[in-house]
Amino acid sequence: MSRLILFIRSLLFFMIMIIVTIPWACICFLCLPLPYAARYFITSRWNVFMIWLAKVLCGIRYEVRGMHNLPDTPAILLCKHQSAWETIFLLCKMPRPLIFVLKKELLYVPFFGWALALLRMIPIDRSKARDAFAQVVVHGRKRLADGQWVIMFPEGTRTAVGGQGKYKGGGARLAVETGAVVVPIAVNSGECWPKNSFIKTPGVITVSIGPTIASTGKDAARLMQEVENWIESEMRVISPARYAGPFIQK
Amino acid sequence: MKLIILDRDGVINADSDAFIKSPDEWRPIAGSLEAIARLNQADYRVVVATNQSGVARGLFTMPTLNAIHQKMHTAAQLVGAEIDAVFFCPHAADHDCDCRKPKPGMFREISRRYGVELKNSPAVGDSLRDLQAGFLAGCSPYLVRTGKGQKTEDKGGLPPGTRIFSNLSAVVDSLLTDATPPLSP
Repeated sequence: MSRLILFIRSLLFFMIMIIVTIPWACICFLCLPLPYAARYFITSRWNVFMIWLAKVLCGIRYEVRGMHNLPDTPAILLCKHQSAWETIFLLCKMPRPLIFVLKKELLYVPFFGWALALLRMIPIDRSKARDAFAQVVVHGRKRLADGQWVIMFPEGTRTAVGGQGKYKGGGARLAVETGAVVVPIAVNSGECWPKNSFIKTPGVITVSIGPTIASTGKDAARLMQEVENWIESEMRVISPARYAGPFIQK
Repeated sequence: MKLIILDRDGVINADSDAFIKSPDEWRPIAGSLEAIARLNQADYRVVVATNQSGVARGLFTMPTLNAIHQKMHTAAQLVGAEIDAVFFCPHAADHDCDCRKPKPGMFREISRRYGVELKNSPAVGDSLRDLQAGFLAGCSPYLVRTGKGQKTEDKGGLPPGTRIFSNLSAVVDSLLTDATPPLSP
């Protein structure tokens, strides 16, 4: 399909996103007196809509593998990060309310960030990594006890398709400190909706949920390595064209 | 076709931490069978999906489980209720099967056998794993406060959009009146 048509479709997507987000954020503000579960549900309808919109306008469909691997215990989801798509998708498709660990700058985005700030996320200051981790442990522990799941992107930021960021140990350390299991998730969303690209390309995104990895009695660095091994190996399964070389397990 | 999927212990009959091991221990929760009858009258097919790890653990045998379900069907029929099918997972937690809730395998099997999409079919349960399995299969989760339901509600972490009612009868009231049911707190 010609670039021009893809550009127009992406432009439409962008415009509708802005038009929808403003009133949606206002609804989120008005719902503030409601109980948290109700607010979470209402807020997440935006995610359902955006995933649908990306499908009908930009042709971005998806396939989920390994849904049966999700546990019924407190869990920390550690996910490959290539695109904004997986953040939108996982929030509305997981069977528990999710707590995102996110950079606090996101909360300053007009309307979107303000609505996000009303949810119980864990905003962190990237420039102060050490304090940030203490925050994650304090809030993460509390939220895990509430039956919610914490989700982190160990690479820290969106990575290029075919690439791999440096896996940071925060998620694994939180798992070791709280005893929660880790659920690794691989996703190739960047093939359709890459970082810093306005044009979105049609295709099928694969979200692959791996078997849970126990954290008890493990060293955080080793746990992180296990997670990295699973995710990066799985990328070669779900995105073989872009991850052609073998992954050297450490 | 309208389909509703119910958990068994704690939704239809009183739950026991020591398992329901014989027909005698199976006692319906007041009003639950009548609620199923009302669902039938409103053209719902009622299907049960239940974890019965007591089979794998050797707490009871298959003939006993069949006898328990026979008692359930008979009791239901006495009040004009029809339970279309009972799907159960006989495995223990460490068998790593695909059917034990919270995995959605049993729900997928129901969807396949009935040839229907479960999108928005109600799934009623008293524990988080019932709701999680239903949610993953695309059902609308309903929590009842009978059985372990009150404890489940207190613990939190329910799937987004879970609706909470005091018992199965209240769920059915809500489904049949189209009133907007309350969201979980």
